[in-house]
Amino acid sequence: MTSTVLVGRPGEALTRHTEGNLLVLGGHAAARGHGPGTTGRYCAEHARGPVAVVAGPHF
Amino acid sequence: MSLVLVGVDESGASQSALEWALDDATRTGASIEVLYAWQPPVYGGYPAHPLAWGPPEEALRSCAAAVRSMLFRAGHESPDDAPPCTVTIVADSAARALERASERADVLVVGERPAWPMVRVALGSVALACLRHPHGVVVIVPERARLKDGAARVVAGLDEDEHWQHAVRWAAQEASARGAGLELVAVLPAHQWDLAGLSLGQAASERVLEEGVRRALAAAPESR
Repeated sequence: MTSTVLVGRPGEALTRHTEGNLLVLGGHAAARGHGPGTTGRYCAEHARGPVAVVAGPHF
Repeated sequence: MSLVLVGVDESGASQSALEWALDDATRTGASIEVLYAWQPPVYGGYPAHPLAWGPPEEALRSCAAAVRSMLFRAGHESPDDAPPCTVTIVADSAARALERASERADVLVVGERPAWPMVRVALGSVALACLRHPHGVVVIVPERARLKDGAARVVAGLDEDEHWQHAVRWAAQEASARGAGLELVAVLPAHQWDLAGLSLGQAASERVLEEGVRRALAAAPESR
């Protein structure tokens, strides 16, 4: 397991860093009924691989 | 047994979503439900009665053929060694049908077909609707996504909101099921680029990452 700190705009940085692998994000904006947050939406639109948005402890 | 729900239509994006969902269900030991939503034609502003029309036969055949073909490609030569799979046909809009059905699912998978295909900048309406009303985990699979092999990474993006903890738990379980490495990532926003903000933000990010590692190990001790 590795941990990394990136600097930049979150959506762009995560999308570039993930390189088509599965990207998992917390869906706090979605869970509050606000729809996807800025980062989640950017990643879902631009990622080359699957993007999972986890909105709550349902699983 | 957990349930992976996948929405399909005739698009390439939904084929990618189905492929991902089958792969995920196989790895995690989940059952899978394939949902196909259709709407009867509208005449003079009034929709025809669903019972009078029935679902489009061609679409149903292609849906069933796609499931069979993907199961075969995934190495399941007989239904016995494949994840339990059901196909549900619903007369409703795709977004509404998926939102309702996702209440009973653990993971909802949809393909991402951009609203403007020439410039990939906007989510399709169904994917966006699923993200607006999530009941658990929503996975958006791009049309040209290629499944990574077992050695791929699972990347979890962390921030200071409480929901990243759920994301880390799920990511750790997925990585474990896939035999993949787990990477936890925190991003310092661009506005913290000045020196003082950067050091403060970095300290906060490192705290979040430390907590993330602890929670990931608690969710899946074999995480690597």
